[in-house]
Amino acid sequence: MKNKELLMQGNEACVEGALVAGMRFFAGYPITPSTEIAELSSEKLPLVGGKFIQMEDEIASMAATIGASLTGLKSMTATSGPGFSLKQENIGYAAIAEVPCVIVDVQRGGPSTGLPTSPSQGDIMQSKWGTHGDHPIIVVAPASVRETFDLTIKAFNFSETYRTPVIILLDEVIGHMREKIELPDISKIDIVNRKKPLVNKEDYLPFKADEDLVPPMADYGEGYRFHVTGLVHDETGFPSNNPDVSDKLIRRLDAKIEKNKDKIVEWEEKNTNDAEIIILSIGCVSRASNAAMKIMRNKGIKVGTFRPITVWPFPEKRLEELSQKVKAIIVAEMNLGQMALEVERISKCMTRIEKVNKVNGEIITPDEIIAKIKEVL
Amino acid sequence: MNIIDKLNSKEDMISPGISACIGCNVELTLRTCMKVLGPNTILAIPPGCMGGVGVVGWDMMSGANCPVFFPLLDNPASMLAGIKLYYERIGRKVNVVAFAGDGATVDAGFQCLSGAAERGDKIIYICYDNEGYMNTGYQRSSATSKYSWTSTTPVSTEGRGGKKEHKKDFPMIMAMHDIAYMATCSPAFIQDMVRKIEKAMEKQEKGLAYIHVFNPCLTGWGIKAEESIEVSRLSVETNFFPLYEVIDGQFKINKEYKNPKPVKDYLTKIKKYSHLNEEEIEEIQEIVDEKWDRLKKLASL
Repeated sequence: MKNKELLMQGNEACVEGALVAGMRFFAGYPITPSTEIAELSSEKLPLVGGKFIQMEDEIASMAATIGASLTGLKSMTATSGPGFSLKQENIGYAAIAEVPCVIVDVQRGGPSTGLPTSPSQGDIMQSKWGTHGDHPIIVVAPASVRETFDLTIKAFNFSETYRTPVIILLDEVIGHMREKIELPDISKIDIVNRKKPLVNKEDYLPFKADEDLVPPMADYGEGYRFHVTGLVHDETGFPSNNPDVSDKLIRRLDAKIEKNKDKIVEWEEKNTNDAEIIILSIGCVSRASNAAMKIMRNKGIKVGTFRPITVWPFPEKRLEELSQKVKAIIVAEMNLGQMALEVERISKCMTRIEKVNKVNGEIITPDEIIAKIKEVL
Repeated sequence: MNIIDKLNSKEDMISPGISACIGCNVELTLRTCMKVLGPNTILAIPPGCMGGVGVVGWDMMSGANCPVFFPLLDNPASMLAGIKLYYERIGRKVNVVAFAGDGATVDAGFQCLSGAAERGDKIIYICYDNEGYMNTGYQRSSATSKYSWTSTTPVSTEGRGGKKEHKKDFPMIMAMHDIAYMATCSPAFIQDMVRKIEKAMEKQEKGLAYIHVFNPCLTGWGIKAEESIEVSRLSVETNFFPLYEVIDGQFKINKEYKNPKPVKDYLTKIKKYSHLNEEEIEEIQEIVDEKWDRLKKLASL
């Protein structure tokens, strides 16, 4: 039987995906262009026994999300650039305290208040390095309404699997665009729930990792002694100044994502087998890249596209392989070259890197990418 | 000089062409306040309705006719504190004024406003309270009154819901900071508003002067444009939003009605309360009566 077809916005698909993933708590604050996520959550969460709360500011909504997650609820918050900046201290807290949570950033023009109603991809670096210190993070970037639904579920699964904050990088175009989507059979979707402790309450060490480098997590109030802190801590969760403890913790946090990279990293490539030129882009820009590719292919020019679906960790291995084969990689992004920095690093001068950048609040067009391809040819 | 002549004699500090909604009483409030404050003013308008409708200006010819800037939602009082400290240092008297919505004041900007109040920063802070985040399509704020429909406090198909909590009593919170001057205002009582702005200008020499204006929002709340002032007046006549001031710690009620109108008269003019049943209306009446009694006691001290 064909599943029901629906017309929905990226922001709506994000909420639908979150509910399927098991989101039962949302704390938010109004900010364009993400507000619909909060509004819809306020309507839908009470109907499934969840809790919506509007907090007094962005910082508070991130903190409440962490608090609710500690009690065992799958929790999410949503924001845009200025709010994302405000949340950073708490995102670092979630990273070091290993609290699973999902943060949606519907990117708009920045810095500061910037262009509140226009798209941007200016938060690519911030999504990785916004909070201070070395820390793990997973960032996914959907390019369609349907993919927003799917990746929101994945974001929750990643956060539960690795006990880490996961960021969904939408942009104003994907967030507000309406597309016809067919939702998958919900019963066939894999849903991951965090690992629970299997030891006696008195033997529980909340930050003692298993072989996969992820410690099992008890719910607050369940009866396990469970200390949570933003300070460096040992396996008991209590603070420590011991250099060995600090080194071990920070390296484990990093390694739990690094060593599992192959299970996390995802990308989409089209026509790369014989491509001489690859257009690399994420989110809404990838749609223009695919259009540019089609036009050039019709003219007999061998163009392919490469789209990181996880921006962090970046699909490094595959890009390195492609760098050895192609004449040029054109990085098209709505910022002044944030992702290009990563591509330059990975390609190690094995191919020519060209950039198409736009920061005027308008989407990059296929023509602008084609103009760059013609320069390269 | 009567109030009309007085206001007529003053320069309109805001250019024509502000794109506020038809009948918006915040625009009226801003124009009135700015006429009184005059050109010797530095104005901060954070994100919110008045920032969105062009009061900060779209070019060099539009918007406020004085130095005006657009701080962030959570920092107007702190930015103004920095500006005022400079002017104090060079010995120049200037009105340093915030005109901020309730979200920027009672929620995100509360920390910095409270800090400015405690330090006694010599600024005038005017809050236009339209009970929510109107610039993003009306989400609740902590200034939203009990049972209000907002886009994040929805009403069910059975007609139940709305916000569960009553509005934060922010004028009272600011008064309890023991600031130099605190007053509540309504766009339906312009004479009272003018006098209070003048008083704030006088008292700012001693520390922070805070003005809280209650501005029923036509678009967000569902009020007929032609009833903008009538609904504002009803909010005062029902004691839903009493007009009072606190000068050096002394409370003074400015509008007192022998027989205040029932709060139902006010609520039934507004679409965001259209789902309310008699019990809920009665509950709001009780809240209003309790708050009024407390205010009376404070005024009798």
